[in-house]
Amino acid sequence: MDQYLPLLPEIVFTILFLIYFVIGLFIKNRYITGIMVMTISLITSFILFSDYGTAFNNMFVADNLSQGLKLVFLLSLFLCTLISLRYEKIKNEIFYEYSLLMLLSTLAMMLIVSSKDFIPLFLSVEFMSLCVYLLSGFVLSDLKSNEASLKYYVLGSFASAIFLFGIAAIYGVTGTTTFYSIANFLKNNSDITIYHYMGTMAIITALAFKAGCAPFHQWSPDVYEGAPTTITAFMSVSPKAAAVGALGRIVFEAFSGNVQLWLAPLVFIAILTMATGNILALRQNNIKRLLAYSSIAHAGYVMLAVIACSQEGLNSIVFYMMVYAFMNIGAFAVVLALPEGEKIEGYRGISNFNLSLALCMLAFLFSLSGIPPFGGFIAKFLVFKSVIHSGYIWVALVGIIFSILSAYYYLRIAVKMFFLNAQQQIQFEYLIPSNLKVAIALNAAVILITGIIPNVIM
Amino acid sequence: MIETVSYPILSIVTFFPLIGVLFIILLKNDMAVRYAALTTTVMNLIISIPIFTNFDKSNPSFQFVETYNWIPPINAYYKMGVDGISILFILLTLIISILCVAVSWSAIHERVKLFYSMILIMETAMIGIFCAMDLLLFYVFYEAMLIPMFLLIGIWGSANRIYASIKFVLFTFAGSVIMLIGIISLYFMAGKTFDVVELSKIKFPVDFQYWLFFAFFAAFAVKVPMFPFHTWLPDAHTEAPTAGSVILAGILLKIGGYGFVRFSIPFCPDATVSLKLFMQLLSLTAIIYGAFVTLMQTDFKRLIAYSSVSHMGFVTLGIFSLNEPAMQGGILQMINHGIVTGALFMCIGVIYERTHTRELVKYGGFGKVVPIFVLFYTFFSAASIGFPGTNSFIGEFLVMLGAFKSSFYVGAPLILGIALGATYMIWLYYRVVFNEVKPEIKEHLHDLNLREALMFIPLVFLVLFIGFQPSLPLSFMDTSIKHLLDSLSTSVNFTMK
Repeated sequence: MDQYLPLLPEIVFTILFLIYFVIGLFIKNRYITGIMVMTISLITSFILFSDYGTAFNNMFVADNLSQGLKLVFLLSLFLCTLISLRYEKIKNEIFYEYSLLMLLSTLAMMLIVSSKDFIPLFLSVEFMSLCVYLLSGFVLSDLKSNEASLKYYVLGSFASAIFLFGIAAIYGVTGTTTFYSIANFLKNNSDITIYHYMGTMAIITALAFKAGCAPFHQWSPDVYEGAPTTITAFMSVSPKAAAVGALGRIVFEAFSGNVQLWLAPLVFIAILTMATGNILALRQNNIKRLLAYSSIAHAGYVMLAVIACSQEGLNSIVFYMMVYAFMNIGAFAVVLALPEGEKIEGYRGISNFNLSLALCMLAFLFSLSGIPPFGGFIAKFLVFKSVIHSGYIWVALVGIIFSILSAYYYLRIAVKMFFLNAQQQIQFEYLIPSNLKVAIALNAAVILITGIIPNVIM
Repeated sequence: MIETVSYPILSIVTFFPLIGVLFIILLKNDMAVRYAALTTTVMNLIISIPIFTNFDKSNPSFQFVETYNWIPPINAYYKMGVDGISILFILLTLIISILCVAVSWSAIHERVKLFYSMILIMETAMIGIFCAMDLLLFYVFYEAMLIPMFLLIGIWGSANRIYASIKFVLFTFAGSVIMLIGIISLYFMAGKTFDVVELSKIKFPVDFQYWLFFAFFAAFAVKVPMFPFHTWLPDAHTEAPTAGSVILAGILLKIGGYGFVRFSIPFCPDATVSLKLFMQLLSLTAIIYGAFVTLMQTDFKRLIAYSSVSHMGFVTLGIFSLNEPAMQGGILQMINHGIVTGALFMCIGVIYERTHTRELVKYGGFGKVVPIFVLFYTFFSAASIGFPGTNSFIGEFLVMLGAFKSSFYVGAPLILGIALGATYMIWLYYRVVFNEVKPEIKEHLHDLNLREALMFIPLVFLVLFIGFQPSLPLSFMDTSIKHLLDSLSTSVNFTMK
């Protein structure tokens, strides 16, 4: 029985999910449904750190990386449910299914970051992807959303096939799919063949696709723009964190002895991702697209922590994604809170009507660009620290130069909010729903606290 | 024997303005907000008095040190302390903050609450910068200034404010993130510490020192600003509201010079010595080029902004001449420039509030209509030129002394710089004070009121005090500078052997 203890959070989550699955059918009120989901995520987060260890012959693990990222998933589930409580695009009738898919994909992601073997990893990645495909096309009547879903599905299946191909290649040369045994095998058999390269390249490609890294990012701006905003918020954090976490674990646990296998492609991907994300975000006028490109850029920064290939790097992934979840979902909450939140022009003169909302958004934006005293700075600092510690100063330098660009497009929104007046006196009787108020205030507070005393989540 | 202070006075002085901010948030009335901000800044000055009275001038190390754990996993501490160099900047910050509140009294009508909150947050960040003894803490304070300054320029600035504010943030941010990479590599080179005192004791490999020098140079050269990186300054200065310009000129620019003295020189002694000539050349270029560009300006505020480039050239020249008089002169000149240029920006602010123009062609004949204003303006112009008896005279003289001591060819161009400095200030004076009053501004011009006159008085006092009694500020920094230069020459000699 003891060997199942590391799985406790997943077991509890599954049981609670099944209870929800049955009871939810009879509940017609979306608030009760939503609060149930939020409770599930909170209960599970409390038992996350109770047991560390491995199970199923080293196939499953509960360690710092996995539990930290699971907390990120559960918190982002909590926050995304909170912001969708009164989101009109998700109709009352489908709220149950919507939450169901969010719960299922969270479960899948929890399994992804705990996998220490390629087979369960592949299965859970597929599990997650199916849920997210469905989520992105969730609004049946919205053509854009449908297009996004189909695009994501076709390209995603392609990436999955490549993933499977890579696993097969690695299995072909090492005879195993467990990370630990692969590392051992490579240590004892030092000759590297073309199949090793093919295998790692294919695996990196597939996971880079799931994380939305360039040059495999083309799906993400369209999908992010098309999907309902709450789902965009969810997708820009959790699946990304899962994919990067899995990649970090693979690199660190299976291939850390063979740097030549992954270093060049990963450095290439990281730099290209930071460049693409930051440069293409410069001229976006749709905030969802802008945030999509910014999330590509952020995937590039976390990729640096993967390159660092050290325990320090893995810890910084967790910290980064944790802070990122709060600041990004916070920014999306502001997008939802404004009547014209998707257009950059919709932010004109907001500070005149609602100063606290504008200041919170300002905090999210400065945090996203990595300026203290917000959490985003500490997160970026830790990532750059880990990559410099592993000796790749020049990669850090290139990364930081691209991050200067990012300040510009975040500032554009700040300029609209604070320095310009609204074109016409917009009717600001429009009230911000209370759930969004709570979410925005909560996220802003967390961002500020993690920036000043980062210890609390380190 | 000097008593030590038993409570964490530096933290109190640093964070006291934030208490003022909390208080201001609760207020409804704009006038009450103004008084609250004024009270906060004045009280902060009063609270800080023990720092200056209990400071031990003969002790070269940091005093009033406070250390708390901040981020234990990465060995970062919340560590505050002052030495003879930073203590003067803290005083300057405290005084300038009061003046910023006073100068905006009637100039700011919109979003008064937000404005004064930003000024007070700036005060916290600036004092924090001069107190921080942990590099990461320093960095956090350093960057925390960006947001309030961005808003100050962008919301309350003049026509071209958006461009200026974005340019300001991007330039500063670009410089400081490169410094961040330097800080992180320094951290690993030194065996995982951010402590400034520990880091100063470590001898780094020479090629790493060049690297590091470059990283810090990126941040501080932008901030000072040194010659090729100065282009943000005229825009930011010109577009900012008066209080913003005063903060920029008075303190922000000094952070660059302070950074060179505090970090670049002690951490990279060998690199500093070998790059001495390069830095001196850049400074001389800034002095001469800055003066020529100043001559051509037609906008009152832009003119003073460009003159800052020239004046800050004296500062960096003083610092990088690496001898005692020059260093003293450089640091004193930072204080002087803060006082005098701050005062000149206040003069502009007062006039702009009345005439709503900064174009010099529309000015003239002020001597006839606003005599009290002209009295102050004459005084500060003279101080800016470096008239004997004013503070800048002492500063520029010391820098020149040090520059000639360093090399004749470094000292000689300074004469031209000083002559040009006098030229643009006198020509400006001619255009503003003499001739006939232009009809379009005549009815708007009226003389200073009591508040405006009162806010100039402390600056007049400071100018004269430093001018006639320079030994007092110099005595504060004396020991620290000696200590800095001593350790510089020991470590360089060590490498030579």
